Amino acid sequence: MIALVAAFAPLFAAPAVGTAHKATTLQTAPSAVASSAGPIEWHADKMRMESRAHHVFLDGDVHISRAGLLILGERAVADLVAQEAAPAQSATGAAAKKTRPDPVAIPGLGEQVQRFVIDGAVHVEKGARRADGDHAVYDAPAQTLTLSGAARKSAELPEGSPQPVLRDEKETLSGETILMHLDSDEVEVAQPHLTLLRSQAPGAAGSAPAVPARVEARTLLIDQEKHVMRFRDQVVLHRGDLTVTGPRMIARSSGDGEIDVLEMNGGVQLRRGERRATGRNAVYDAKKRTVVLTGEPRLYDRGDEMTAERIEMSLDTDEVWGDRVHAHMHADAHQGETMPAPKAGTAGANAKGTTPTSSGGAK
Amino acid sequence: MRRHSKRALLAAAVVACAGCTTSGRQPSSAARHASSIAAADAGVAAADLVLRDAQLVRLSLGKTIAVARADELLYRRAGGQFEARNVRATLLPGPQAHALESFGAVEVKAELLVGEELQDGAHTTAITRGEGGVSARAARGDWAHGESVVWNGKSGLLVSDAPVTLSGPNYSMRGGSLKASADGQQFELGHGAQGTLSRSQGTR
Repeated sequence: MIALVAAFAPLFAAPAVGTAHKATTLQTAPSAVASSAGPIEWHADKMRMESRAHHVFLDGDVHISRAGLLILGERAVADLVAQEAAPAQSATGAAAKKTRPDPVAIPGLGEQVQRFVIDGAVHVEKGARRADGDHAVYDAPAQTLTLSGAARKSAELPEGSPQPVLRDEKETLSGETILMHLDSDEVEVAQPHLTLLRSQAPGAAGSAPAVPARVEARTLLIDQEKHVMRFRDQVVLHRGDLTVTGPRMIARSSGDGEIDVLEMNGGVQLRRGERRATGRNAVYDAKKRTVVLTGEPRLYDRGDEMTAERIEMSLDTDEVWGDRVHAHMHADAHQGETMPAPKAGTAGANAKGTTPTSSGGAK
Repeated sequence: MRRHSKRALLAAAVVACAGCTTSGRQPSSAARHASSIAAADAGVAAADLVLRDAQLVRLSLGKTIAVARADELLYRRAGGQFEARNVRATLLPGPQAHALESFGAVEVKAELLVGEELQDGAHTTAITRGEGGVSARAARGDWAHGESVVWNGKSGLLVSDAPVTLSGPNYSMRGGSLKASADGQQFELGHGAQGTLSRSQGTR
């Protein structure tokens, strides 16, 4: 229509002297990955262009989609980048090559889309993923989408969230910012908070009450291809009075999309009441509700100390099992306690910390 | 004011045609050809001048910058009104229309163009309405269509309250309404706007 406008101007009005601007062609910014390339489709209640500022404004019920990516919002601004292009062949021919002013800008219709900034109840869908926030930046050349701001209440998110929320398969997590790599399907989350869905269900046969397990860290990288979440830096797992900390953690999901296993490594510290434990690695099994420490694990409980090749702790019963156990106990600290039947093949300790009275364990 | 004094090309051409043949002056816009100048019939009784199968050429610095043809062109001196039916115009880039240099020559078609001059105090505003379908096709490949559009010569705005469609290399857009300025500073699609921005050729 700009062509139509430009056409109307000389048809009905006096000649106008254009201001300096570069001729442009319309295109989205080049993408490094073919799978994320393709047309950007959009619609909104209203679209407005500003040529001088190289912006396109979309207002009201904004939909932007591209290659399986859908972004909804209340308003959006597209930043355009002028690109050199040879002017179309015209009847002026060689005379046109003589010195002349640059063509006037033709807003929007000859420029690359550098990025979209979307605001207001932003909702993002990419494959099975859903994300909500209040502010999003879609970087076309980098093929990334960064989501921030509070997520409003919705049917999928009845309580809303003060931070952006990402639903990946069945799990839901929030974070300060959510960075989606559209070409690789990886997701980076700053200051992630994850509550395991499986932990919110009651235990086997409904005997044990549900105790939500929450994970926090500095950063999270979701590797869609390998179906894992990689938490890094100051990783903390909370479950009731249990706290497990470490520098790294991998969350693995099962076929049903729910996270089953959390693997922490790089030096793990566990605390539960008066009980502390350390090890190089820890595995939290969300189905069995256990934590297994390996890598020179040590358990400390009111002056007692236990080392083993492997220490397993039940989160529902407080029982502890060890393989090849060496224990040093202070018997007077356990007067009146009873010892449960040991787990087959292991040395057992009950919730009160009653460990075998001599070094060495079964198995 | 220069823009306003020039008014519409078609109107200017009609005025020029009416006066220049006797004055001997060379107008900047002139009607070069009119296959017939018919007496007003019943349908055009109010017209002061009727051109049928008319071809109008606009010159700038001795060069042709626009050529327009119309099956019929009616002009009324009162209010500077004109009506042109089945208009086909070709607009060429040049010093008068730098905006076109990105597009190349633009062909405009309109089923009906109606123009008039409106008095607003001491000012005169030339209003031209295109009805029954107005389309433009640029050499670059851009194409635009609107069922009806209104051109305000004073503000330099093209406005439509009817759906408009436009497309071109790597883009397409539709809107329920349009407001656009000829200098490219303003462009709005309203009442439901949508479009597609394609990646460029040569990119993967």
